[in-house]
Amino acid sequence: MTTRREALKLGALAAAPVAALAPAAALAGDDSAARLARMEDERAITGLVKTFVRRFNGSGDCGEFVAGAGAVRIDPQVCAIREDTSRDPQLAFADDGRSAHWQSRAEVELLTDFDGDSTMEKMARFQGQGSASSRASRRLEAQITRTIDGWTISHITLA
Amino acid sequence: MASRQAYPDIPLFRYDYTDLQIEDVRRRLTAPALAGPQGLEPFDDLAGLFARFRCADGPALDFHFSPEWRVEVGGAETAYGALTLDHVTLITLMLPREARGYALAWDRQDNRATLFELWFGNGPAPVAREVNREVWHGHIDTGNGPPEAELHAPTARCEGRACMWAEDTGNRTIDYYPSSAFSHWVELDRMAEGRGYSAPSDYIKLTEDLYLYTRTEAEFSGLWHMYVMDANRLESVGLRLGFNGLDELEYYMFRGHGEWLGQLARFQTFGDVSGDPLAFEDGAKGERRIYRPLRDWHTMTEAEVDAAMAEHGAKVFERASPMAGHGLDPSDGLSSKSFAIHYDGGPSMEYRFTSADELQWRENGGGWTTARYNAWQNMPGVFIFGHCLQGKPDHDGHIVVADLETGKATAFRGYLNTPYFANEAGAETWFGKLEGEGIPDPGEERHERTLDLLGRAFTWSYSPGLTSMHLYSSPNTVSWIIFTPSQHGGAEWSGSGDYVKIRDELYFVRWQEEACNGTLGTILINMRTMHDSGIGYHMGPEGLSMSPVGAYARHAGRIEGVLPYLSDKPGGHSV
Repeated sequence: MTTRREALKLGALAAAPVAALAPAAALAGDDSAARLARMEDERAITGLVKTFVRRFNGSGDCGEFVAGAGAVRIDPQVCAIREDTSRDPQLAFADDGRSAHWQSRAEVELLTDFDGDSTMEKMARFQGQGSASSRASRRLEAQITRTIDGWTISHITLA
Repeated sequence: MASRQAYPDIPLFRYDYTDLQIEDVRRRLTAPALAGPQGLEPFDDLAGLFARFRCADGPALDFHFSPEWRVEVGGAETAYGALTLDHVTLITLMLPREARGYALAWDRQDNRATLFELWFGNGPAPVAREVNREVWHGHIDTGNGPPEAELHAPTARCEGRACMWAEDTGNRTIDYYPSSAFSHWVELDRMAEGRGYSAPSDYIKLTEDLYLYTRTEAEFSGLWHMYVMDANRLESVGLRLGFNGLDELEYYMFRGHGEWLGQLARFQTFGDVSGDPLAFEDGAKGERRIYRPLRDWHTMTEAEVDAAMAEHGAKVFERASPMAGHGLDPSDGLSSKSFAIHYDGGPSMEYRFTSADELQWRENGGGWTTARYNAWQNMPGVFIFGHCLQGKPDHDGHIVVADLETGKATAFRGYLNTPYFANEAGAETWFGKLEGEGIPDPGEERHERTLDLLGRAFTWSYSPGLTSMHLYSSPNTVSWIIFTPSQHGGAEWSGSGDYVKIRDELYFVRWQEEACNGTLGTILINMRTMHDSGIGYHMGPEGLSMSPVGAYARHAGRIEGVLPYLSDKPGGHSV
């Protein structure tokens, strides 16, 4: 695993360090062109995920970053995602370099609507408490796929 | 229709209180208003005093007291009553022909005062028989300006306590104050059942020793009960105003003597003693949050229940519930097991657990039926499981606690089509024994009803932001209190309950949300892990549902002083 210090030494990521778990074959030998390409991919994917999160927290319209309507599998109670900067993201590329798996920690804000028929929920609404917000630590996982236009999120979840 | 009684011997939520019209209320009040409140003790004579009540945002009201307990207020003359507790005088009066009056708590040492305006009719109460009240905190103007001390104010200081109050009338009540906006009371003399009820309340701090308490018996008689109490000396003076079950006016003042029964924990942030946690801004005069569950509940007829069942059927553990966000995961510990439960005076139920969520049952040797179930093991060897019994005319659901190590089993049988509302759950408690491979025969031993939980309270955290406190207020009553975001006790309600001891520190509890939401709630409380597992049984327009309940518990304490008063009251009512 690449440490944060090593990642910074590589000078690869301006936005945030990523621990890249690359298949050995991809980085074998002294192929500096391949290394450069991989670093560019890492930067692009990091930017993609960060932009997705930023848009999720903003307008919520993340359609341009994902491959299709079913790509986003995030609990509807999640209303905000905040990067956990204490731990480095993990990025693993497939052997063929055409896809990658992103994993990072995030603190999420959950908004629970008390809209059910249980007496507790009814009484909470009676008191003016229609919902409750809470925070929880979650694992953000994304499957990223290379397309002719660049990288796109084919699947993203918070577990 | 039940017989007419001032204090019914049926639950108050079953009693058909007369819908008194305001003209009727006025007529019944006219003569008593002119005569003043009744009372067994001679009232204080305030003749010659002139009290000018002043406050920042309320009425300026002048009271001219005359001999023979007469007073002129707002241009009208009427009779008053007055009783003093230490240095606070409580003055009460009704204005003739107005169905309106006042109660004034006047601190004679520093002239701080709290004024209640009281009225019948014209809202916000939905019925004319329910007393409305508005509260103002101010002072009696003596010409020297407002007092330096802070005015009386709502407080959380009373929250958690409980007292038994004996009036000079002989009437005794247990008053629980588990909330800063509601209270819960048990009549010990006027009603024999020992059942508790919940009502919106005011708690006002007058001094470090003296507090003012009110409750509006909303959704029942509508009576208003209030007193100034000395928390140290356990003395009180008070007023009871309104119409009882026979529509007789009760308008009397009393002196009371209290007995300290105990107290529960409060959960506000340290230092927060603020009161009136359910206040809302810009409310109309007298408006406040009064929980009226029956008015918001979709009641159904038997035909509607049958139609909803035909269309939607029973949804048994089909989806996650916010009531079980902190619950245990269901257990597969019963999977592949088989046993029978022989209930005393009830059926014999045979079970084959074919998987973690599917079982087959048959009753008294009849045919096998497949049903969905869930089970939880929240103490080793003890399972709670529930399933619906398809084909039963009353759409039964069995919620069972089976102790495989002792061979004892107890079931709460839930059913619909009670005599009151078809979609309201009734319940009965069955005690029995298990019979199966490797399960010991308990012989004649059974789980038993218990008083171990009487007076005890637990807080429950079901999901983030969804919390409550249970107060096990009498052998036949469970009361529940909803916390506000500031962790004050807020809205409170209650229903029939039953309590069964399964093992040491393990209890099986049910409550019925009668004339409320119709749900049968059941929980198996493990006091060693402070976690529960339970099952809710609920009927609505979308059909019958059985859903999980699970929460983290905190022990809020126990009010042990209620035991001598309530231990002999019967538990285990069905509906």
